[in-house]
Amino acid sequence: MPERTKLLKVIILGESGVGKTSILERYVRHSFSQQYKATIGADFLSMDVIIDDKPVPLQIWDTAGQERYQSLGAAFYRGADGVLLVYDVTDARSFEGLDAWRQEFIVSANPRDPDTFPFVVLGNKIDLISRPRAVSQKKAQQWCLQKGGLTHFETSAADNINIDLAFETVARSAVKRGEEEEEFILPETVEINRKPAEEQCNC
Amino acid sequence: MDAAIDIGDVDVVIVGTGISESILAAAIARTGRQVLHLEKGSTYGDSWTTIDLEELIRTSEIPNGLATENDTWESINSERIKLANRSLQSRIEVVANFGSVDDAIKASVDITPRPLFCNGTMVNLLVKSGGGDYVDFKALNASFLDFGDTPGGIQRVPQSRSEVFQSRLISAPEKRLLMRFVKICTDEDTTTDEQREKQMSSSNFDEYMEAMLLNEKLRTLISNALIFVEDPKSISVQHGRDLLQLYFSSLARYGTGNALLLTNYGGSELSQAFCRISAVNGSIYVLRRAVEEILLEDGAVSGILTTAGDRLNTRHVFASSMFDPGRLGEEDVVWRFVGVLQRAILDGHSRTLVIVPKGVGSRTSTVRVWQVDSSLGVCGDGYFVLYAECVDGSGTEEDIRSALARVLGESYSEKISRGIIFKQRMWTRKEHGSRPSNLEWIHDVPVEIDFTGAIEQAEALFRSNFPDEGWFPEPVNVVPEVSESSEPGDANASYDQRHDASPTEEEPVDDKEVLARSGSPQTT
Repeated sequence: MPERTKLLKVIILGESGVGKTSILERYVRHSFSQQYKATIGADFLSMDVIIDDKPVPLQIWDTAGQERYQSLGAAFYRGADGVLLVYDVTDARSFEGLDAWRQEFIVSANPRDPDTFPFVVLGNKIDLISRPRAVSQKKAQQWCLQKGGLTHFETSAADNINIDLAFETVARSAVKRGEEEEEFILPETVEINRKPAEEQCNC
Repeated sequence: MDAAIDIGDVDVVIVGTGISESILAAAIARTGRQVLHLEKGSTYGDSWTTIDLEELIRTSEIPNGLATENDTWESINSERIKLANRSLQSRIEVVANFGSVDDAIKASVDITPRPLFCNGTMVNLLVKSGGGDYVDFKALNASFLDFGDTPGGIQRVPQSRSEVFQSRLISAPEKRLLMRFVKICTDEDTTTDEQREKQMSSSNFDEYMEAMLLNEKLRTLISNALIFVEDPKSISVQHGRDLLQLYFSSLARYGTGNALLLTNYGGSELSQAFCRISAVNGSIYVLRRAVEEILLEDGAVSGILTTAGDRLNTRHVFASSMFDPGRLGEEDVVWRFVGVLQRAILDGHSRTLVIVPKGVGSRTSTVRVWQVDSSLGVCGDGYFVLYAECVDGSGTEEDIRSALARVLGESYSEKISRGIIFKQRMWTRKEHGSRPSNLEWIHDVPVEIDFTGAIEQAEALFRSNFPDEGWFPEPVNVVPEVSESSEPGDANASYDQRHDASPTEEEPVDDKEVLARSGSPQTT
């Protein structure tokens, strides 16, 4: 089998309405919509991110709205190489929810050595000046430190602040982790979307 | 946790996340209708769920909530149908325990485990619907058939042409007969008039095999291990040929060396794959939420009331028949075993199927026994999850025990680190009392290989309720514009065009020469 670069799966977690889909849209499509609508139609997006001059294929998974009633299911978390934990800086409740999302990921995905797993924490909506800030940068940084030194950024999908950096950081940590540890990949997986064998090789 | 469902009216409410329910949810969501999908349990899958073995054992110790006559008569009036208060534990009755809590080993097990064909209904639906992006499979490594005391007990079922030639199970003349029969069954073009006549004059598949000069050993092999039919007299010649074609086209499809697949991480992933399609198309998902009442108006369903007090209007309700208050007790049962071993069965393969047919010993049902290991992500390295199921509804606990004895030896109970034999209750009957036309019950489906019954049920319900809509039509391939930008890494950005089904790469095919190579063309 030809050697290929491992596809990195990154998932975006956080309460409804913190801007998960907007962050994804900004990063992948460089666009932003002011209108909020609960996520419909977002599945996963694929693109290459350049790390140390090498393209790394990234697959970024949106929650498809199943986070709204805490009903994501274990399958969503499986095989994730990195997680973006997103809260809204104007909504304290969304920040308080991060701990539960992180826990749920660790329980469901069962990553080896969860303490070093690449979580990147994003405080989104820093462009919103009409609403008072509910989560200070200091408070968020303290929490990240408590959880073993998670990387933290404040972001704006609307003004394109720190979005590329956030994805590059999570991808870089995931690549590094993959190099350091023996990767946990289930062997001999049959890819059913592959074209049937007969049609490939009509011998 | 009990956040109110504040989404207003919906078109469809689906109750339960079993396979049929989840497929139906995905199909309806694809039509653009607003679906609310509720699941009483904390995981996806209902009776198809995958749970921790210890949790399964604990769960089954809780009173089972089977309905009684008293529950029923006060459950239905002109304003509401009060649903039966049943849950996963209503489905399970443990009759024997192996090991104790002290022997607990972390393993995820399926309540209703099920292998599927590489070219079967489930794989084809996953490919068609896009659900294949969310779930992975492994092929079985080896299949075995128990021939009883003669000619030598449990024998490996040869899959490829070279395996047939090497097999000591069958003699040279038998090999030729078998190969010829397979070729005739899987390739219409090579059938001679004489053979066609035999096909016409045989009233069932067993007679046909006999007319084609196959002896009892070969007939046993074909029925039990290739077409998975307990009694070949019970099926037509055409049905038998179709099943044989399914087997060999499955063997050839991915070059896996075996016709059957197992689901990575357990069967609950299949429900979740369809629920994800549904969610991506706008459905609302709420786990840990049960429906208390279906509300009626002028004899039709007008809404639902949940146990958390949510009240919503809806045009349709599709609910697992487990909640049908008109059903008393159990209707059918399937006897099962699930447990953990610390040593692989038979020759040490990691994923192994053993068929112990009805005819061997005094069994009343054929028993299928199979083993999976850590390669499926369900247990730690060095451990094995073993399943056994009675294929026939008339099976018994004794059938399961004698099959375990065949596979593990008479002292089987010592080899099982932790496990249970249980009776799985099923609500499979299609007939029921009158119901509003916009309420449909979704029934349990009988034991089979693959998910044909579950898929057919979902499709039939979909077509009868939404006759103007297509069943997972090819989506219009809208690729959102990618803004022009010179930033690095941007050029490949796109929504994944997964419905565009073009192969991404050429994979080398296992060079095993499979029997089917000479056989049927791909039917998809």
